[in-house]
Amino acid sequence: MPHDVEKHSHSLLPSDPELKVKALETALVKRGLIDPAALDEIIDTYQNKIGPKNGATIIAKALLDKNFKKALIDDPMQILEKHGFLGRQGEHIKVVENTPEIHNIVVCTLCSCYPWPLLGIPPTWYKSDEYRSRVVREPRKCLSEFGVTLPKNTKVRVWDSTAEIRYLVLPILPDKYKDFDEEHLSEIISRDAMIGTALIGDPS
Amino acid sequence: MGGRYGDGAIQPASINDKNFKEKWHSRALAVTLATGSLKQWNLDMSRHARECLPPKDYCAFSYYDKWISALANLLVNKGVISADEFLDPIRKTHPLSSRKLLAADVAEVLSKGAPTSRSVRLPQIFGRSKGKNKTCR
Repeated sequence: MPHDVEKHSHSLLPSDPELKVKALETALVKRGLIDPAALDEIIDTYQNKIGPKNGATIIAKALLDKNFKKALIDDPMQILEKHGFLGRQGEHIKVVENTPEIHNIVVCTLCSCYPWPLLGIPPTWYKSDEYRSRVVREPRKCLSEFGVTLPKNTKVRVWDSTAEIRYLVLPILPDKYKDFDEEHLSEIISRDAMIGTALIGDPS
Repeated sequence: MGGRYGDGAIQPASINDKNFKEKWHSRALAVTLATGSLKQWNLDMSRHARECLPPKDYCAFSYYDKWISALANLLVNKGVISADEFLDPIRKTHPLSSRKLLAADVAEVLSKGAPTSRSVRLPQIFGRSKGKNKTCR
């Protein structure tokens, strides 16, 4: 439907978004189109079951095992399927590796596409206009707002997510953590390190 | 929005932040995901609906407000429910109600996702030799 004839029925709903969602939910429940118990189940999943721990498990393994890392970069979906990390908004994942030469950062300038099965629901800043508009233009300045300063000769590559392809950053493992086992390492790999706005060990 | 000038500083948050700052945020997400099971639109269409919000609303609405406002438009524009029902809900079984997402099916639906891969039976005709122009057909 062309934009100029698109109907904007949303303006008929209450302007308070809390009431807006309540009105929609009520209308849909009454028509038997949604089940309130299913809504509770969805919320419980993303509140309590799926989060950055999933991504950190995979990344820790990749940082300690070269063969696993290669396999993860070459064919991520096969590895993720094996570990039970497939799912909605993570159907097609690309793993991008940080090196001393290149630092990767992920954004979704159009909305908020993000690898849900590995990192959960995106944080508020990832969905903010400020991050979406600026990180593609001045990534180093944005990184400084996260407290990250890269060496001058490290290039920054920004990946703009699409509805289909979601990115996961494989951060550099600092020397001081090289003796950590998988479990301890996964505990210090933050969500932001896997988006590219933090380094491993940063208190983010 | 990518590359736009005039936006201020990013407000990074703690890893311990709640996934949903407000209860209605989680409700907005859940209603949006659950209505996907009615199979009246795909991900691109729901994202397009958000992008089609009037610019003044797009700029003024918070993130999940964009989601539910776009969902309202999708539901009406796809003929699932009428705009009148937003204000005056009617209790009447909908022909699509057999597709309603049930609580017992949530885990399976979320873990299955909706891959966009397609099997292509046609032989590859582009990209075999780099640097040569190819005629599109």
